[in-house]
Amino acid sequence: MESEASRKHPIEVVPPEVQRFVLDRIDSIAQLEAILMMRNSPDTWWPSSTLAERLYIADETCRAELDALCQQGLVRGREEHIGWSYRYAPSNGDLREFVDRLVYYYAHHLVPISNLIHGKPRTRIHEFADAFALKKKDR
Amino acid sequence: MVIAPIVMYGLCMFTALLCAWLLLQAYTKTRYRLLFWCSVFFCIAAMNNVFLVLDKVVFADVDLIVYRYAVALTGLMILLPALILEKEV
Amino acid sequence: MTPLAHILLGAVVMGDVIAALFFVRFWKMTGDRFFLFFSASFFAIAVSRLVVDQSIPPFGMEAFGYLIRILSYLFIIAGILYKNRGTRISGTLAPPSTVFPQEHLS
Repeated sequence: MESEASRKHPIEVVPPEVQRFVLDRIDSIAQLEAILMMRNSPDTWWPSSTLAERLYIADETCRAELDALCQQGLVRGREEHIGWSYRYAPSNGDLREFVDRLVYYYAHHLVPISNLIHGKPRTRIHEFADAFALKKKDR
Repeated sequence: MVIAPIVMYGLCMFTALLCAWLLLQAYTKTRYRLLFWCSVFFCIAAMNNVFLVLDKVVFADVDLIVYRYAVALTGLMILLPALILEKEV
Repeated sequence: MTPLAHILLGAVVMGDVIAALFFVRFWKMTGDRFFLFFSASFFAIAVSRLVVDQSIPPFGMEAFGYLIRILSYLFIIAGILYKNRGTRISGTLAPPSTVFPQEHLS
């Protein structure tokens, strides 16, 4: 006998607020994996080169992805002599809770979450607006 | 009301050049072509502002409106294709 | 004004309106209200060109047209101020009590 969950459309098993969180805050699988990795040792400052290596992406790409996560208030960055390092640091309890829930759903429903992220329209027009941000936002 | 034209000229130059500068800076960092063309547009807008002053003050007896519109249109014909084709980058 | 000038005026106004509409679209795409300021600026420039031109109504409002032009530049400045609201000049090391960044969708 088929279970309820398998007869539903895959994305229905993920609650709408978690979907919304993913759509609003996470731009790529690399960002999601980075959060998971950093969350596993939350007190560690991860150098971006280490993260780039673990995520199999280029250093510059890694920096950009982590900066985006800083903008979203999920991660904090600091400049060290070897370059930038980042740490898992959600800026409030709600974000922390959403990440915890997301971790659960990503572990149990990987495909719907991945599809959600891949389905996001990829444009660069936000860079136009970013050009006018005169001061670097606090990390 | 001599102040108003000076305000308009100064504000236009400041705003247009600021936009051109910020966009050019961002282009050098990100290589996002749209930013370059937008920067060019704002440079042309600043230049047109100079033509406005030339029209009203220096060559007050001649109407340069056709040239000013032509310059404005040139700027837009650089900006609009860039905006329309934005998805390429 | 010559007919050529009027043709060019029409083209330029149309171009400004189209640019304004693109910025409306960018706002819808990103949710960033910053683009609306640019949109307002281009709409205002288009309106100011029409008001300044003395062969189409409204007549005799050239000065008011230039005021609208000033408004269009103020929209851009307002947009830049909006973009930079709440940011602080940050040092290289963020202190523990740092205020965290704004919501991404503003």
